[in-house]
Amino acid sequence: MESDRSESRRLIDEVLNGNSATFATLIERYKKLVSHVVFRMIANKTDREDVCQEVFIKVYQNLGCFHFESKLSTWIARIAYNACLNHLEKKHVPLLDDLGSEQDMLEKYSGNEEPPDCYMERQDIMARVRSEIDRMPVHFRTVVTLYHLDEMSYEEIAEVTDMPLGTIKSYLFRARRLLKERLKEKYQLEGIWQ
Amino acid sequence: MAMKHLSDEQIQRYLDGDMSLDSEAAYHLQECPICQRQLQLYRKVYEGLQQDTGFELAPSFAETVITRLTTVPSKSSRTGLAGLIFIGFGIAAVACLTLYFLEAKTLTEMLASLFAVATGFGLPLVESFKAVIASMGVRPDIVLFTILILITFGAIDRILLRYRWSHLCL
Repeated sequence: MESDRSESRRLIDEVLNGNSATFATLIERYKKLVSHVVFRMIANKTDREDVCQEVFIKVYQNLGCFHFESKLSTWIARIAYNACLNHLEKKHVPLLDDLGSEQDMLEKYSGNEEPPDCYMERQDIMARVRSEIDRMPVHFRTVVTLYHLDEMSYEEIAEVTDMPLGTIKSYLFRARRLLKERLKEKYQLEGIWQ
Repeated sequence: MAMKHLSDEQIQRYLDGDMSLDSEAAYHLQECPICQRQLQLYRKVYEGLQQDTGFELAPSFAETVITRLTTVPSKSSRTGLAGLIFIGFGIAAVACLTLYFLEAKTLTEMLASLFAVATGFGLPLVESFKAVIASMGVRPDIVLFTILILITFGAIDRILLRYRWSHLCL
């Protein structure tokens, strides 16, 4: 933890002293995190890389303002999250703050499915879960991604998204329950489980 | 004694490692096919959530960003030594000029001579500045106080406010 912090401090000092090679190292280190957030929040494939670039430009421009009040990864994730929100606002993409009732969600999508057998042939369970994640509202997708993929704590996610802890826990719980129900429904449709 | 099935919340907390099951619940989970199925489904969900998104940035991504940075002005100068020296120098210069115009001779002369030694052209600059201001028909001390206030606000903004503001705007 402390070595992480001193390593981040060293990287930042070098970047602020104009070492662009060190900034490239910093990009390599955090591009996975940024790409996770951007991928989950931005649906348009062509916009994703542009937004990722914008994120790192903002990181560079604001690096001098980073005072280690949080982890560098949390700070970068926050920039990525806000950049995505700004992008979605510019594109007038509705954020859909809530899942509604899980039952509504199940009904909403059950009519649009391909026949289960075709679906089964092409995609495995993991792909199904991922496609279900993509159907959820932005904030839910972001919270589950930061928690499960980037292994952030509730507190860190709260720092990134500016949401209360209770909201994060609730989003996480409801998102996972919805995914479980969707998976169960598919299994039942396919006759794997009755 | 029949135990109630485990709730979604219990199973999620169990998989998150936030809670361990008591012996009764653990036994129930082992024996109950309904709860077993729920747990199995949740395990699949968790596995799916931990799978990478599959979105890969181009290998030249870092290079592209750095190329773009050359065309973007940097705001990343931390308020370091150079900034503080600049601010201090500005405030000292304005203080000297103010004292000079207010005719606080002794102190002014001392500071102005220091200023002149430091820059080599301090006093001529002060004289020129005084002449320009006088030709504009305004009171030089008012102009200097205005400049002093502006520089002080600039310094406060640079040292105290800009970080907080940019932090909020990120």
